[in-house]
Amino acid sequence: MHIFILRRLLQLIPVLFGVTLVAFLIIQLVPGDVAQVMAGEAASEAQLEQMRENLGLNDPLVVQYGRFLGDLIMFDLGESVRTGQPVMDIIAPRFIITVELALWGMVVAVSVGLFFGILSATYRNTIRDYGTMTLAVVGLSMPNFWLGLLLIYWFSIQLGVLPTSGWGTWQQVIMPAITMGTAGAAVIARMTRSSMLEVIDQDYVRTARAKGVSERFVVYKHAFRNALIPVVTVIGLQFGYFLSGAVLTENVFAINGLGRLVVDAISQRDFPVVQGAVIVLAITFVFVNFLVDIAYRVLNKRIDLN
Amino acid sequence: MGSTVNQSPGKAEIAAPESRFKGLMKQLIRNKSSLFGGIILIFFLLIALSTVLSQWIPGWNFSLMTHSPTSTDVLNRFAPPSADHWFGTDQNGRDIYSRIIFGTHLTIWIGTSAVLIGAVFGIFFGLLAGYYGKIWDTIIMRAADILLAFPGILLALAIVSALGASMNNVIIALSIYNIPVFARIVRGSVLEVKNIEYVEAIRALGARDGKIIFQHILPNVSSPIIVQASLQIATTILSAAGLSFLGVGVQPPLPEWGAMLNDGRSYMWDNPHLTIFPGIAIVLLVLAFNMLGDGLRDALDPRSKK
Repeated sequence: MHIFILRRLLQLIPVLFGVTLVAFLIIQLVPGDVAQVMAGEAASEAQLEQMRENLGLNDPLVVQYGRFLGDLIMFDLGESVRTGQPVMDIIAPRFIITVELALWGMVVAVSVGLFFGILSATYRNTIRDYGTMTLAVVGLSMPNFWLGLLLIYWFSIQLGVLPTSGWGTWQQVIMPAITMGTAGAAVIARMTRSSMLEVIDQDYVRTARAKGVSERFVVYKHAFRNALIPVVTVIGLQFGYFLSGAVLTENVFAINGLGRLVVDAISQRDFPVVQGAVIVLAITFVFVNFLVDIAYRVLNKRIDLN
Repeated sequence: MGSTVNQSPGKAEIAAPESRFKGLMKQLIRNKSSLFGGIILIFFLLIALSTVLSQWIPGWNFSLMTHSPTSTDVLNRFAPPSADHWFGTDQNGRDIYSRIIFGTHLTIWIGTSAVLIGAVFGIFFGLLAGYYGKIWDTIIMRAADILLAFPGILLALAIVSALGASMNNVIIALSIYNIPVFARIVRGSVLEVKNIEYVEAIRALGARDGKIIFQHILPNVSSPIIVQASLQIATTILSAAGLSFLGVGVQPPLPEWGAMLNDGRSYMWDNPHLTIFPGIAIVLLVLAFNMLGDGLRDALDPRSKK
């Protein structure tokens, strides 16, 4: 097990390197003079030169990347070209909000997804199953930002029971969590259903049934526990999508998280902030996937030993 | 080895292409999910076609638009749905129904072209990695890992932020986002069929790599590619709409559905029809591709049979 973890950790290194390289190179995609784009049309030549100097844009690319990496290891993501604040200081408090939002979305996705997935599997090929699975594919097909807008329309504008924006109170959490969690719930419900059906057809479950074990016990003790393994993987993957889904959800509900920061920074052409936020989100995603891999392995092993 | 061939008839069966196509169509029509998805999709494709042909062929006007999608009417702003304006008018008095009709071909174009470009490159890299293995495999798959480390729309967002907001840049960004998805699937499938006896036999007979790849391997890995393409178009359309909604995608006054939602959200308090109709259009089109994809998977992948 330790060897497995160590090997997976070593495999992370090239990916993390690559992530930083991609984020670094993004700025190179900017057509024309980056300094000009960031400083705006009105900037004088002296200001441009100052900006190039500050950002080290005059150095060769390799030197720039080396410095970028060196700073990153010291948790230094550079400074915002707008406010001069260190990017790390801007990102840190917002990152916490985004993770909170993602976790609440997770709560919705997992609870709703598991409930409907189990329901669908236990009532296979009945109207409940079809109804649930139809709902799931619609949930998958709905843009989460549109769902957010609809929720605002119903609960804030029509009923006036929930606030349209902000983050902190429990009332402010409800709609963003539903917005984030719906697509995830749909994916988890579909996955739970299909992995449960796979298990239900297997010999040992049939044996348990034949032994006279109650249906409820069969479903929860045997089918569900084993079906959980692929579901865990999906849940982990979903967390990553929540991080990116936060970009849209935070925008709809005016939540000051990392996602909203990225979009604001893009419109202000504040590339160091964009780079920093993108790197932080991607690295978080990589580590979450790493943890999921370990969890998957642990769960699998337990089953094997049993 | 021979047993693998028998276990997955969908993969190794070498039937005449025509009868295989007919059989597939039959299965798709019998499957409720893909039948429903297919019908909605044909409906949207006809709408798109009517707009494109009306633009290209002078004197031809089969367009389903009742008004010009861009002409404004300041005296008739925010009109509710009526006999003249089926879905009402927006903040500039433009006919929302006509804008949605016009936007159909934009959305379909973005979704299919980004997936097509992504698939072509992804198939190429996937074949290279799967067939030649070794160093190719390592390099290509690590690169795929790196691109996939940016969750959801984050990579596309970062690319578009650097390239600038426009429809073509959205297509470029979303194509890049699709490449690793296809590369992974193709590589996996190539590894599955590469060592099947008949491929080995052909290789032993001295066939060239190109011939083996294009005549024998590619046709046998086409099923997962087709399934993924359909599902991926759904995801890509959602991502494109998300980018436009954030203001970094297709720019107004082009009536892309996501951009229309972004326009409408500021007026949602009194005029929800600006937000409701474009959202329904997105849901229906994405739903069509998702359901078609589900049906294709049921038909083409024998392992996922219910």
